[in-house]
Order: sequence, then structure tokens, then C-alpha cells
Amino acid sequence: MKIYKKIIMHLILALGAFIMVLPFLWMITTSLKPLKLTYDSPYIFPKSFEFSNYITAWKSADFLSFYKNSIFVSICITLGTVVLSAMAAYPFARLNFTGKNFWFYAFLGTMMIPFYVEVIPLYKIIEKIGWLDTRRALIIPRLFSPFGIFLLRQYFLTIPKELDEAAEIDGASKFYTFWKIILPLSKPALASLTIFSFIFGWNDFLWPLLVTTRPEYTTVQVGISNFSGKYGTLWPYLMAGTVTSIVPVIIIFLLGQKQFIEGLTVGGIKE
Amino acid sequence: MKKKDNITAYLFLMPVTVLFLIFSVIPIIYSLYLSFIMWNGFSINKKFVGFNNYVLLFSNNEFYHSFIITIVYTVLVTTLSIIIGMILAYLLNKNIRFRSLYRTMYFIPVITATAAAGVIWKYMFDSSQGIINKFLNFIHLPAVPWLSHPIWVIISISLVGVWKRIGFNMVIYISALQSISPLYYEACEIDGATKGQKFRYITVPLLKPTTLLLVIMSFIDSFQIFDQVYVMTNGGPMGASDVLGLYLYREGFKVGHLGYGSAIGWVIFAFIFAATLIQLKINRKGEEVY
Repeated sequence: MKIYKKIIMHLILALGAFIMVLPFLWMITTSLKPLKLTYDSPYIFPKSFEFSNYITAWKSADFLSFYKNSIFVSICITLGTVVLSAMAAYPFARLNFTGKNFWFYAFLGTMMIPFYVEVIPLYKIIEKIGWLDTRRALIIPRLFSPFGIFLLRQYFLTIPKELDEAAEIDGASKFYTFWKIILPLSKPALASLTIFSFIFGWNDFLWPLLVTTRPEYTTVQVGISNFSGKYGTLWPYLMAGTVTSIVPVIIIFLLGQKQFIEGLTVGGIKE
Repeated sequence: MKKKDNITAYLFLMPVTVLFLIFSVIPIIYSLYLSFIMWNGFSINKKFVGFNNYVLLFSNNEFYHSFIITIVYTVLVTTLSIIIGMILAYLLNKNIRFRSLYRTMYFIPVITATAAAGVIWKYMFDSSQGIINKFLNFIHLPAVPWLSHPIWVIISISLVGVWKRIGFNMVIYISALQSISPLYYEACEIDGATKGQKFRYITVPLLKPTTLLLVIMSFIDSFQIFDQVYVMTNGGPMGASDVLGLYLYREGFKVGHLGYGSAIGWVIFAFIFAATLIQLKINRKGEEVY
């Protein structure tokens, strides 16, 4: 490629990438600005480092408790989704049973139904069984993941059948083959689903907004939204709070980027 | 015929099936039932009203307004994010320097929570403090009322939607590009095709199945927009960004029209379903031409 063409391409790509991350840069810069400088002319890279903004933000809203809730809820959703999806994916990939297609398409079919169809009755059910303002309400209805089942089933199908058959000839039970052969060989897919579920749990908004009203059960995302409603113009504090609400997901993503992207493309493309 | 493992299979499936029945199937049936009754959620008095909720819905201007702005948002986000995503994938599929850094930068908004993104963009768009207007001021352009003008607000929330989707489309396109055989391009080069021609006549047509998939996914997702709007404008100014999700939230949870709210949910489903079928059909017609 000619050198000037290369430069133009890099200029376009870099400008685009800069626009994509500009909101994050500005969020960080603002979060480190002294409050009295809020109305000064803007700058993109931090000049002052007022870390006390973070302490103020965490004190004025109960971010510690939001964090605890979000971490607990996201971890439970992640563990539950991975374990249950793997259990459900195994028979779809390996066993021969009555109603296999029926259940498979029934599960996949619910992916077509928007959450808006279910949300009002689901809320009523949660209210009826007395789960409003509990962490259970944030976790248990979120554990059924047709996407997770589909993703893992696709991966299980790529594992050579001869491996299980050999184990079965040696007298291994189905459970043993699942536990000792299929799962250890599916680490990349399990890792993808782990990252997906954690990010899903952490970023979930509408459902926690509906089923929790007391601050001690509020998650980070709802907390930040309430905080924004209350302190809408104290930008440095608001941005400090927002930074802390994003950081965990960014870390998890950067650690597992490869698995995450692979999972995305398997779930998205190959049928 | 192979022997069946019914007991083992259902033991494995049981936990998920129980959750599926309680938290998906029952709510879906219950929702259909609710959409045919008039109920405020508290009184014992539930009145069966047939299709009345749907009739009310389709005779309500507020609903049409929400419906139209949700469609405008969806079409804008889908079109722009797919075009930009495809171009980026094309550029970033080449062996260039900083490739993975670029990809990561374009992808980061995808994993950012929509609520948090809403808070940041509310600040970006702020008419006096926001960096966008400050920049416009710096280059001597007039300030734009991003979130306080009924038309600009739709453009603003759509820009946020595009910003959040580009990375996803890019990643899917990159993996599709990697499965295109280089032989096609070589054959074209022999015929003396230019880069633009190769992109137009080979890359774009071969990416068609991926494009279809992304259009459908983007359509389904964008049509259900809620979080950003809730955080950024809460439907304002004067209901100008009152998307369907917010309308349902207000009717179902704030006003307490459970039946009416459920009917909105079913209309959203019906529309998404119909749109998906139409997109598949258009695609099939397109194939017959070739």
C-alpha cells in the first residue's frame, strides 16, 4: 500500500477511535476536577487530580452497598447461568430423548419474546411470592439463558463423540462423561459464558429498577441513575460515581477479551 | 434406533425447565391474559374487556407518537451502525499496525452499561457544560440544543445507540470477512478490478447473510430501547423522546394500567416479529434476482 494512503487510513481510524473513547476520557478527567473548576473551559486529559471527589461521591450515595449488591448479584447470576446452561446443553448435544426438539425450540423461541411482554406479570409474580426488595428477585428470574444453552450446545457438538463413547465402554456414567470429559474440554466456551453473564448481571437496569426500591438492595446501575437524578449538575462527583460503576466490567472484559469475542461470533454466526 | 436416555436427560434439564416454566412460560401466558382485562393491579375487580386494550392503544395519539419515534430511532441506529461497522471491519481486517488497539477502542462502548453510558452522554450533550457544545463554540458554530429540542433529542439518543452498537457489528463482520476465501479477490485482481470495485462487488455481497443477521439483531435490540432514554431525558422534552419502552413502563408501573401495559408489550412483540419476517422475505426475494 502506498504510504500516503496508509497515513490517511490511520488518521481516519484514529479519529474514529478517539471519538469512541472520548466520553470515557472526559468522564475520567471530569471526575478528577475540583468542583470549583467545573465551569472552566474544558480539557480532555486530566490536569488536576482531585481524588477526594471519589470519596465524596461514595459518601453522598451509598456506593459501597450498591457495589456489594452488584458484585453479589452478578456473581450469583454468573455461577447459576453457567452451571444450569451447561447442564441443559449437555442432553441437547449428546443424549437421545423424547421431546428433545420440542424443548430445544421452546427454549430458543423465548429468545424471540421481548422482555416487555413478560415484565408486568413477572413483577406481579415476584410481588405475590413476597420477593420484592430481595436479592433473590434480582438473581433467580435471570438464570434461564437460552443464549447460554445454545452457545454451550454448539461448543459441545464440536467435541469428538469418540471421547464419550470410549469412556462409556469403560463403564463411565453420563454424569461422569459430562463432568470429566465434556466440561474440561469446554473451558473456552464456559469462559465466554462466564464473562457474558457477569457483564449482563452487572449492566442489568430495568429489572433491578423495578423490583428494588430500598437503597440497601439497589445495584450500581440503578444507584448511578438515582444519583444522576439527585446531583445532576455536580458533574465531578457524578462522573466519579460513573467511573466506579464502569471499571469492573472494563477489567473483566480486558482480561477475557479473546473469549468474549469468540463467544460472540459463535453465538452470532454459526448456526 | 439408538436407545433413549430419558431419565438422565430430564434430570439434567430439570432446573432450567423449572425456571423456564415459572419465569418465562407463565409470565407469557399471564401477560396475554392481562392484555384482555382491565385491572389496576390492586382491586379484586378484574374486568374482561376483550380486545378493548388494543383498541384503546390504537386510538391513542401518545402511542402512535411513541411508536414512530421508536421506529425512527431503530432505523437510524440500525443503518448507521451497520454501515460504519462494515467499513471498520473492512479496514481492521487488514494487517495494519495498532489493529488490536483500534478494535478494543471501538468495542469498549458495547460492554459499557447503557445506564452509565446514558449518564456520561447526558453530560456530553449538556447544552452549556457539555463538551460537544463547548467544542462547537470553540470553532465558532452555534450551540445545539441536543437534549432540549424535540428533533435533536431523537438524533442525540440515536447517536448514543450507534456509538454502542458499532463495535458489535464490527466484530461480527470481521469474523465473517475472515471466512471469505482470498480466491475471489485474486480472481478479481486478474480481471483488473479496483479496490472499490472489489469491496462493492465481492465483499458486500458475500457479507449479505451477516448483514441480514445484524439488521435483524439490531432491529430487535434497538426497538426495545429503555435505559439510556430513562437516564438521559426520561422521555423529555415534552414527551419528544418518549419511546415505547418508557411508555410501557409508565402505563404498567407508574399509572398501574396492567392490562394496557401488557397490550403494549404484545404490540412490541408483534411488530418485532413482523419486521423480522419481512426482512427475511426481502432477503429471499433479493436472492432470486441474482
